[in-house]
This record gives sequence, C-alpha cells and structure tokens, in this order.
Amino acid sequence: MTFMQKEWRRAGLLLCGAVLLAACSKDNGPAPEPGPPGNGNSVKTGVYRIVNLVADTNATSSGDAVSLYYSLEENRVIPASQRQTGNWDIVFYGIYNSSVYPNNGTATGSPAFGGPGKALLYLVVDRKFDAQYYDTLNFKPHTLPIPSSLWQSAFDAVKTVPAEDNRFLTRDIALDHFQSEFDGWGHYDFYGSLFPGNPKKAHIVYSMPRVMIVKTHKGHYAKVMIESLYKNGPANPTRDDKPGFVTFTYAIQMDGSKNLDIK
Amino acid sequence: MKQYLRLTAIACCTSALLFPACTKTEIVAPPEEYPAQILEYKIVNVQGEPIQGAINEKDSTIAVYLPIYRQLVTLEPEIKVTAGATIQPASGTFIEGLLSIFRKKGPIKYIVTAANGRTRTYTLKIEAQQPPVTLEELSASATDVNEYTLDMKPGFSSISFTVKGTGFHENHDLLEVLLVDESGKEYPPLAVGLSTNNDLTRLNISIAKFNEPYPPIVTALPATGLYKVRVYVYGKSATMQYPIRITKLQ
Repeated sequence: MTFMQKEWRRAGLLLCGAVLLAACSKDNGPAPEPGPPGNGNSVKTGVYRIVNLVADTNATSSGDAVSLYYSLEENRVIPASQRQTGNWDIVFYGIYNSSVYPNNGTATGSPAFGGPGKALLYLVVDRKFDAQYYDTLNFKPHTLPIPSSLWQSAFDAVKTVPAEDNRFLTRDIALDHFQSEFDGWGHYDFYGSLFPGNPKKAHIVYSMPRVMIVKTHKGHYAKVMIESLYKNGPANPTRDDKPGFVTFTYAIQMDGSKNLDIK
Repeated sequence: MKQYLRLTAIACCTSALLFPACTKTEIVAPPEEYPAQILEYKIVNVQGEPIQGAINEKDSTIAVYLPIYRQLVTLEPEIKVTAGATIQPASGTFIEGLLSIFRKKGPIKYIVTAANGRTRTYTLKIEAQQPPVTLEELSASATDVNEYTLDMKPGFSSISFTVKGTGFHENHDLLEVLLVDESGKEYPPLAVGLSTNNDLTRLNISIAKFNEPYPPIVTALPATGLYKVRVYVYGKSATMQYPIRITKLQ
C-alpha cells in the first residue's frame, strides 16, 4: 500500500466517522423563524446627519427624478426594486427629489402603493417661529439666507411628537405652497422673484428650518429636517449649484416612545 | 359425483382465497422521517391579509395569483417547510423585478433540503390576473404601412403616435411599449406620455431627439426598418399584426 493509498484510506475512515456522527445528532426542532426583512442593523436612538447623499444628479425640470428610498431605521439607502417592502421609511420623490413620501402602501399613486408600508408623515409648523425668516401671509422667506442658527433651534424645539397618528399624512410633504395650499419643507422660487433681475436665482429651492415627523414602518418616531438639495448645502443657492445631493438631519427614538428630545 | 362437485367447489373457493396470500408481499416504505416539503407559501408585503400560494404536491408547484389592482412588482414570500428542513432561496428573500420575470417567463425554483439530505424542488408559478391586452392597428394592412421619419439634423425632432387598445393601466410603471423588428428583436422602450384626460384606452407615444445623451431608442434605431408595436401591461402583452416604418434621417 503506497503512502497515498494509506492517506486516502485514512481520509475515508474519517469521512465515515463524520457521516456517522452527523447521523447521530438529533435535529428535529422546528425550522428557525424567518428573520425580519432587511439586514437587521437598526440604528440606536440618536441624531444622524447625512451629507450630500447622491440622489438623481441627472434630474431635469422636465420630469420626475429617480426616486431615492431611505431607511431611517437602518440609516441607509434602499434600492428602488424594494419599494413595495417594509425596508424603507421615506422616499425623496418627484421633480428634483423635492417631495418626501412616507412608505405607506395605502396611498394610491404613491411610490409605496401596494406594499406593506405603514409609515406616516407630519409637518410641524410653528408660525411664531416661522416669522423669524418667513412672511407668514405671503408664504415666502423674507430673509435669505435664512440665519443658520434657526436650523438647530427648530430641530431642538421639537421635543415630542406633537400630534396623534390620525393627523399624520400617508402622502407627501412637498414644496411650500407651490401649486397647492399646503405647507412644505422648502420654498421654491419659480420666477426668481426673491432676487429680481438675477437669472441665476430663478428655479431655486430654499430649504427652510422645518421639522417633519416620521412614524417609521416599524412604528418608531423620528424627526427629520432637510437642509439642502444642492451639493455641499450652500446657504444661498443659485443655478450654478448642483442639485440632486440631499443633506438632512434626523433623530430617531427607538424605545417606542414619543420622546424626541434626543441629543 | 355430487360430493365430487362439492369438493371441487370448496377447493376452488379455498384456492381463490389462498392465491392472493401467495403473491409476494409488497413493502410500502413508511413516510420519510423528515420529508422535504413546503407547508405554506404566502406573500406578505401587502396591506392586510397575505396572498396565499397554492401548493400542489403532485407536480411540486406553487401557484401565486396576483390581481393587477395590487400593482405588485416585488414579492416578499414567507415560507414554512417541514421540521428540520431548509429552503433555498430562504424565506423572506425578495422576488424583485416582477415585470421582467413575467416577460422572460424564467421559472423561479425553490429547493427544500430535509435533515436527512433529501431534496425536493418546487417551481413557482406567478399568474397575473388582469383583463386581456388588445391593440388597434396603426397601419391599414401588411403592405399599406404608416411611415414616420425622425430627422437627426435639427436640434429637436420627434415622432409621435397614439396606440389605442384595451387592458392598459393608469400606472405607467406597469406598462412598456416597444418596437419589434422583422427578426423579432425588441428595441428599447418608448416614452409613454401622460394621458391628459385619463383615457385608459390610449397611450401617447413619442420618440424625441433633443439634447445628448439621446434616449436609447433614438440611438438604437437603424436608418430604416419595419417594426411592430408591442405593449406589455403587467403580466400580459399584445403585438400589432401590421408593422409601421420608421426612417432615421442622418
């Protein structure tokens, strides 16, 4: 018997033993329960800031941008192919990704429609606070750029969920009073009327220090503030700034409570 | 003699009774201890009750019926298998891009492996429940064809036509209109305009050449050709009988 043959025989014996051992192990327990969808890497309660998140940088004014789906629970982008799943919470949708929809499968025509999504959305509007930068009668900013200190104070001012779930939306929060009577998260200056005579100031979106409350698909509350849709978040954007880059801050409460006083 | 007959009868009866006992005993295998079997298959990424799949053990298939009004393009199955068995792809693995799955008709298979190593393969059959798709012809006949010209010289030029028919859907994400050439090759999808009056029997189609990069269909079209218009709506499709001619002027 050559060395190789001996080795093969030894390997064969080991294999037989392994098979026997495996056959002896008792394994009649129930199949493991399927895990939750997604990769299960939920974030902790805390404040998260996402800078220059690449949305549709090729978007034009002639149609909807490519939607950007986001999971606040896991702080990551979700592929559009999973829009009818519970994996995401909000989507940046529509022209220049300027509308925010919750993942709510009951909303006809929404990107979540048909899916299992239960997320909800609510815009906090405080007219006294708004008056610091905003003409509350004509629905447009009166001070531009909006003082940077207002952003942090607007975010901090929301210490709890200010409304019951039945006041929340299943549809989008979009641009403020643009072709609608609804309050929005940002002001769209279609004609450049805030800066007359400056063609680089037409078709500009000014983010405003306004906080949206998201009830995530899994039922946690979060507050979200969009800081900019332009690259590097310029305080006073012009047409030279590149759209399609989302910067936003959110705080999420994972203990199931409505406490949004999160540092 | 009578007695002889009686004896014969008794012998016959006895042998009739005995004979079956002489046939070889057939040993029927007991059921497998850990059979590889799918016990439940349901689609859970929906509002309300899940969509139950119908499991056919005889031909190892799972049938899932999807009504078009649900507009589902992704499925999240929750699968229960027999104790100790595992399944690939695992329960909860998304089925994405349902529209292309409908078109390719590529089967989705599940392999269940029992604890004893035995495997069994199930085939998933996804059935779209929707009205049939029908199309009105653009051309009058196979020889009398409508002609369209896309002139590449000016900054902007376009072709447009209206596809009339039935079985379309208000959600244009669920439908696709494309050209099929004489060899059966499918071209990149055509732009479907928003219907101004929500008329679900018409699709406004355009091929527009403007700024570069041009839409894939503009680049893909050769100098001239005959094409049939094909419309996919969710899990069904229809193709026009007569072609149209499209010429691309360089």
